[in-house]
Amino acid sequence: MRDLEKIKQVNSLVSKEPSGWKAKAEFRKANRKWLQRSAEISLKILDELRNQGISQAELARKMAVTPQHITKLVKGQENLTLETIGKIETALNINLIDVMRGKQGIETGFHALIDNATFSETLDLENKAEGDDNKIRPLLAATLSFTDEPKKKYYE
Amino acid sequence: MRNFVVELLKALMEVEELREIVPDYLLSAKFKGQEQDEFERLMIDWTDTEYLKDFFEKNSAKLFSGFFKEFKSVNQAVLFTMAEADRLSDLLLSCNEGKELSLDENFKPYHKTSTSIVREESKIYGPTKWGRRNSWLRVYAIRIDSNFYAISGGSIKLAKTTQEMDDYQENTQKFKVLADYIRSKGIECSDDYGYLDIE
Repeated sequence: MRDLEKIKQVNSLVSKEPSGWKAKAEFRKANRKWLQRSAEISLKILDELRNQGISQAELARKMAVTPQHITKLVKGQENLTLETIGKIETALNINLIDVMRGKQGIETGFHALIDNATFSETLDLENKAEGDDNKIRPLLAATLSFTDEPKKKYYE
Repeated sequence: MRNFVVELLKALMEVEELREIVPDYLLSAKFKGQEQDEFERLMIDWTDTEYLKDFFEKNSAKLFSGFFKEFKSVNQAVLFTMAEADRLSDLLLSCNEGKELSLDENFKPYHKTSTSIVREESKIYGPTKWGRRNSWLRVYAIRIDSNFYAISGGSIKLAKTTQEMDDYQENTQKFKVLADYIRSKGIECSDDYGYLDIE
């Protein structure tokens, strides 16, 4: 049996300031899928920073972003754009996302073509691919998002 | 030395206010000098990959001692912890939306070996299991009344016993400080709600 008078007495002590927990929990619930991916990516980044002996400050310089941006990024709370993912991949020379490969994706031979293509060649590939397979366009968009360097290591 | 540490901790800790987590069921203490109340602070830490990775790396000897056989890497432990924190949050969110909450059934004694007096010291266990693994998240709370608790702190329990945990002294002290705060406001307390039976 609950002592309602006691509960009322304790409730009178409760701050009018709400706990910030609820808003954060609702946000996490509504955005769970990408937050999970963000966490996995941040763990990969932390591993690479350690393995390669790179500090967070150095990564910020390489990516031309603020140290605060890196702080958010390694906490797994950042809704990463493809541009940011691309910058991370270039800075750390790693692959973070690998979309539409294997049975559900594009043939390996097509990847090999892109891997060796320069920016202009890849653009040309995109034009040729148009209409062939609508899965290709987003892949190319991701590939082309930030650099005109050859993509030799993008899919490694 | 231990007494000195306990006294120092107590002197430094002070409850600033109580904040609502689930109306009429669950409150959380906010200690002076902290930006968040304890439950919000725990949830921030337990969903922060950098914090968790650092924690499990520092405690890797315990993680890989053989007791947690499911975990082959620190990263697995991090992701498991985050998933457990989300599940706990989801449970409390659903209670905020009207789902019936029976905290009494989910709270367990802080010390398994202690007697009735330590009903005051309780911990809410994580709500789910991963395989056969119970959650290692611990949210410590004081029982104020039937199904009415106040959170004093929390921890990730990797040690076999509560007393072996690195933050045992700190968490124990938080119980005391919170209990003292509630009493100082003239709230009646039963024996169950009294002192801690630490040893």
